[in-house]
Amino acid sequence: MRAQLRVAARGGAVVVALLLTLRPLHAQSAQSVLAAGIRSYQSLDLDDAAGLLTRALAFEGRDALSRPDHAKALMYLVATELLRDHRDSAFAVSRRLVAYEPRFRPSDLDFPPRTIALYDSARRATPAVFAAAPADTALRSGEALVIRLFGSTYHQIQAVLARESGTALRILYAGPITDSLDVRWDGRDSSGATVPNGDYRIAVESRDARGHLMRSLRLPLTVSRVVAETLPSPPPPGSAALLPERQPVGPALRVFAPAVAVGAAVMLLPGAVAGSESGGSSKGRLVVGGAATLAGIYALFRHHPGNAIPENVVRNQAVRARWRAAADSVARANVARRRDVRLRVRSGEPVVQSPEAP
Amino acid sequence: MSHATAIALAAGLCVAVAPLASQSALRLSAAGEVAAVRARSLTPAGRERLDGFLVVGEGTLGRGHGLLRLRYGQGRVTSDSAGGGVQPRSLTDGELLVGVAALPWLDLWAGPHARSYRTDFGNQRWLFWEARASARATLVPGQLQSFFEGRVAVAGRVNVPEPFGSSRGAEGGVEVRITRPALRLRFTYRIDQARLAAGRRETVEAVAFSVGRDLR
Repeated sequence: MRAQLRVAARGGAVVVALLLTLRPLHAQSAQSVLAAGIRSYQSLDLDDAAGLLTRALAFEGRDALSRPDHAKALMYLVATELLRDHRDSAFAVSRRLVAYEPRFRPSDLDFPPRTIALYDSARRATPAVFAAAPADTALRSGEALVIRLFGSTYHQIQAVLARESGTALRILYAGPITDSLDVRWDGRDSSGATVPNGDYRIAVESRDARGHLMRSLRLPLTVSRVVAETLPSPPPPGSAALLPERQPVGPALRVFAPAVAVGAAVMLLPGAVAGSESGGSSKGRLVVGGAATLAGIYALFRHHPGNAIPENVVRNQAVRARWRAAADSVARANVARRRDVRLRVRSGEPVVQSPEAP
Repeated sequence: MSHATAIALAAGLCVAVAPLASQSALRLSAAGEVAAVRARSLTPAGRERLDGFLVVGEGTLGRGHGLLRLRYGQGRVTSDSAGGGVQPRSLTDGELLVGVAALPWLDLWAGPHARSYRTDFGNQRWLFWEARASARATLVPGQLQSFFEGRVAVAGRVNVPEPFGSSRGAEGGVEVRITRPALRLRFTYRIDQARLAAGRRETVEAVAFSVGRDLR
């Protein structure tokens, strides 16, 4: 029993290890299969090349080929099918390539002129558009989002701004496209109002010469408003930043009090020193005591308690003026910031909606 | 308190002042004073009141926190009651005090203070060993000050049969400093009273005006 459990555990470990290593191997194999297919094409092993390129194109999801490699694989498949004398198949693959990547142009160095001529004929017969827009844009008033459209061939298109639900809001462009075209959107609908926050799309419809809808591409957009944060207003100057504007009473009292105390003490000294024999004391003490008190009063008023201190008043006015100027500046900046509402537009990957989508 | 204690107090102050006085500039000032004096005596025989003037000279020496003050005054007091039988007296008053500037506004002093009354019938001498505290407050910096000084005798001696009792006194007033000429003008009221054990009391009060100058 224990031996069976050990075997089962060992087997499970092997399976897990295989599963863990299989994904990267699988991811690498899409590239390697494409490379093998190209090598087979170049060595004219055309059947092998067709099989390998078809296999490379069959990878899906995260393991699938990148967009340029996918287009490259399709082009090599076109060339392979043409060399195998499967012209219809080569033409069908060419159309598939045009629909997938209207911007693709094969290199004269890699492919024979016959293959390029076939692809060009397929491109001319397949009206398709690809759209590219900045992933994240903040639009100020007067600015516009630029969506660059790449056409496979000359044909009529119509670019429409629509809600996610499909309700059309504004026709951005209707007319012909040749190689490329810039369509601008300023964030407004057909009435001129800025669209509210939400999900939108720009739908680009390609039509043939008879006006039939050939292909529709949707570029998803997410719109939100960005309001700049306002600056904090500077705090008004506190008591620490301001000098006293009036002479304080404290220092005046501090000189007045001892003088008055001396004056009073002098007048009361006979009683304190001589006690009951103080009768008949010199009246001169009243003069001295009065002089001391008068000196205190003089000193009190010399300190000018409560009087304005002009230099401090001027300095404080300058401090307050600087604060007021700074506060006004911040207030003006905040008004501008509140007005400066930016429209943030984020665009997603374009999605092809037509039946011809690869 | 004995004389020995008083002398020890003055000597202690000298010892305390000595290190404080070193390594500092010497300060010297002198003043002259005219005082209207009233002397009152209360004896078992009755009361006497005499008025007069005293002319005083004063010198003060300072170095660092250390202070030394010498005062000497001479005058005459007479009774204003005609035919009262009160003899006029020549009054001599002197003191030699050692002090310390304890705080910027407070000086402490100690030392002997002598006073004598000379009449046609004899000479009466008093000697007080005093401790004093002198405080001042600036009213207008560099111009005006008020001051107050309290004093108490820790020992005393008088050449009469009755033993010495006690003595205390005080003075206060204002001081004005003028710059041209650089003088200090003082207006002072002072009073002190000495008591003998038998009950005799000698009270001397003065209203004084002095002019002083810092010499260095």
